[in-house]
Amino acid sequence: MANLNRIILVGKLMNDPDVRFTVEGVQVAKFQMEVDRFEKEGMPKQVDNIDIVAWRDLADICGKYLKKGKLVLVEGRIQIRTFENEAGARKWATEVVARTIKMLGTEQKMEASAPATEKVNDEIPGLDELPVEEESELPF
Amino acid sequence: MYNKGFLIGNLTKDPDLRYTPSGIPVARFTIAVNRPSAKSEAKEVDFINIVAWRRLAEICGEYLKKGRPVSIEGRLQIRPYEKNGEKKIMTEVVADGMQMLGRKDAVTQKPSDPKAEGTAQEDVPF
Repeated sequence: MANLNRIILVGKLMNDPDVRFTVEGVQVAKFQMEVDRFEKEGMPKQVDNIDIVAWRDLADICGKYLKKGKLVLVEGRIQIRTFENEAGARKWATEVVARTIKMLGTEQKMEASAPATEKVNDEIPGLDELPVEEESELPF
Repeated sequence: MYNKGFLIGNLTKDPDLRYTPSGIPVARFTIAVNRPSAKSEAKEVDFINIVAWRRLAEICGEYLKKGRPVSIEGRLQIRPYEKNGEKKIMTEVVADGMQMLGRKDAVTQKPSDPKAEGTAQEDVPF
């Protein structure tokens, strides 16, 4: 049975990405994202704070361009990971491993993508000269 | 904002169907989702908690069984709670869609019947 694990999130960064290197020298970026829940009238606003992890080239891009408060779209998979805390107790962490990150918002338009999907985003020469309305580039 | 997840996996046990004090049905279960891996690598699995409410909860409670492959659509929710005075965080996918996959008899078939030993069961990771 082929399994599927895919999630799309839109939200704001709660902190600047924390970019590090593993012992093997692989770059990894971590940050938290605040995703508003569907709002009902008369109900208090609720949010989910979701941990995001990005690896390699995508981690590099996160470190360079993402800042606290930025609106981003993250596409990836849900991962559940066990680790030991300082006291030696076994803990579980749930995080979204990003495959694509797209920056939203108008003040700075940037696009970041994992190498596997990079080809899709290849720009056609001369496309920049076309009078494209800003709004039409948003996916919704 | 937008929060939408799509998962396909197998139930690790039968769903737990309960009712809130106000009578709303809620079903909880866990699905095992294989990570994509090369043949040489060890198989890794994510066990993801699923919650369904109301009518969907009743359907899950009635039809889903351990081992059954399902497709779930929903949102990732992070919920703090307290257990024995200790603060904990529960991460779960709140389902707003569920689709049963595989053959209907794939889970309930008798192992003694050689004809029923189809390919459907071979892929169950446990």
